[in-house]
Amino acid sequence: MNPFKLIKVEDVPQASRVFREHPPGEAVFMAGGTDLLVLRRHGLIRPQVVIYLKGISGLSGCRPAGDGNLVIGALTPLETVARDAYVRQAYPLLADAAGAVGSPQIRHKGTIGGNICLNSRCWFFNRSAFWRAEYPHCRKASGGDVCYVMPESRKGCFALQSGDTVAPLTALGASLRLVSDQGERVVEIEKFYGTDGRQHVALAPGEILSEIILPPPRAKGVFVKFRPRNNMDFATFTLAVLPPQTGELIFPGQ
Amino acid sequence: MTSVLNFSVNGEAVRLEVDDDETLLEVLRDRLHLTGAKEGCGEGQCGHCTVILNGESVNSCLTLALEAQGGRCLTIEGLSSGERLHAVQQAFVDQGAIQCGYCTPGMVLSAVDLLNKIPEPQEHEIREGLKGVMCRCTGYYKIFEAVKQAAAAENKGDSQ
Repeated sequence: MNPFKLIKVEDVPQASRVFREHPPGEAVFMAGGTDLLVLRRHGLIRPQVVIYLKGISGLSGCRPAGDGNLVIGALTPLETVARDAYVRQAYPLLADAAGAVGSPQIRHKGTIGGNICLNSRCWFFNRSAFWRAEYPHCRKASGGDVCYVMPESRKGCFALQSGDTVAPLTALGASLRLVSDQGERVVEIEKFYGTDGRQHVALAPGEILSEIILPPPRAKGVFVKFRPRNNMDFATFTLAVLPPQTGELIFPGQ
Repeated sequence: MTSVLNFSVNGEAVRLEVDDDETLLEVLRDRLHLTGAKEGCGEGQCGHCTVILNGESVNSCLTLALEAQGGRCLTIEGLSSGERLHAVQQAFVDQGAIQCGYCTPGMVLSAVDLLNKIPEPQEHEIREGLKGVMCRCTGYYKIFEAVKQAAAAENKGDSQ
């Protein structure tokens, strides 16, 4: 593993500036680091510079905002989201999803922002270098021209977004505040994700997810996670369901 | 790149120069010779590297040493008070909740973290609290029994 330089930053504009001072691919952002350090260990990323975000103040915790919205700071640990009394009462499917990530150890470090921006995953890519040597590189790994998930596909990468909180946040109609040193924008969460696993989130270089904005609660909903190993694993798929807004039946006639 | 790391380990102030990419586990084991925390998988699956950093259990293999800057780290070596075992350690001994012992430091510290947050855990809360540590010797039942004993002992004010 090549060594990296750790840069601790104090605010988002500084983080953004430091990121763009380096050539593309050289710098990465790190919040909890629970996925990033594994990717590095497996040789899937080779950062020269790691920009450490957890020293940024004001981006951790849940706070009510105007109009009944709830704002969750991106650096809020997943365990804090899972245990937050208001989140549990008003958005229980989000609390359940945050609590379904990894283990307590992972959730103490891992953040909700990191879960939303989690690198896409697949069984062929997220393996050690030893196991990856079984096949030639895939499209997501540099230089490959095949996707082992969809071998017949001519282009694209079918690695999936695997953040457990994404389905409930989408069902709840969450928006994301994306900030850089050049300004900020708010996007709906379903517009944040693309279809290619190599560039699956709509973050511009140097842009950082700072806050998650939830509209007022309207129904409890449910969250279900399917995973190969039930004790602790990344999801095969997740499902979040909220009843329809206007009170009409989901299946008319029943 | 190196930086100076100042933090406390088991109540003692530590100051040493570390590489930016060095993990907390490497510092604890290779520099401070605290070998209770183990590297099983190195990717957050097995939990054998569990330590308590600033009051929260973490995988020290997925924690950069410099993240502990100014913090407090508790390892298994710092849990007992001299000869007197912590209630969780005593319960593991009493219940025979140990076979090869490799996972035991992580199990014990996970249980300590759990009982700090939930003093009287239900069965499902014990399972959730310990899910981050993997034991490959046997079932987990004696370990669950030990956590129940420790909870009962602590709630009687029997512990330190």
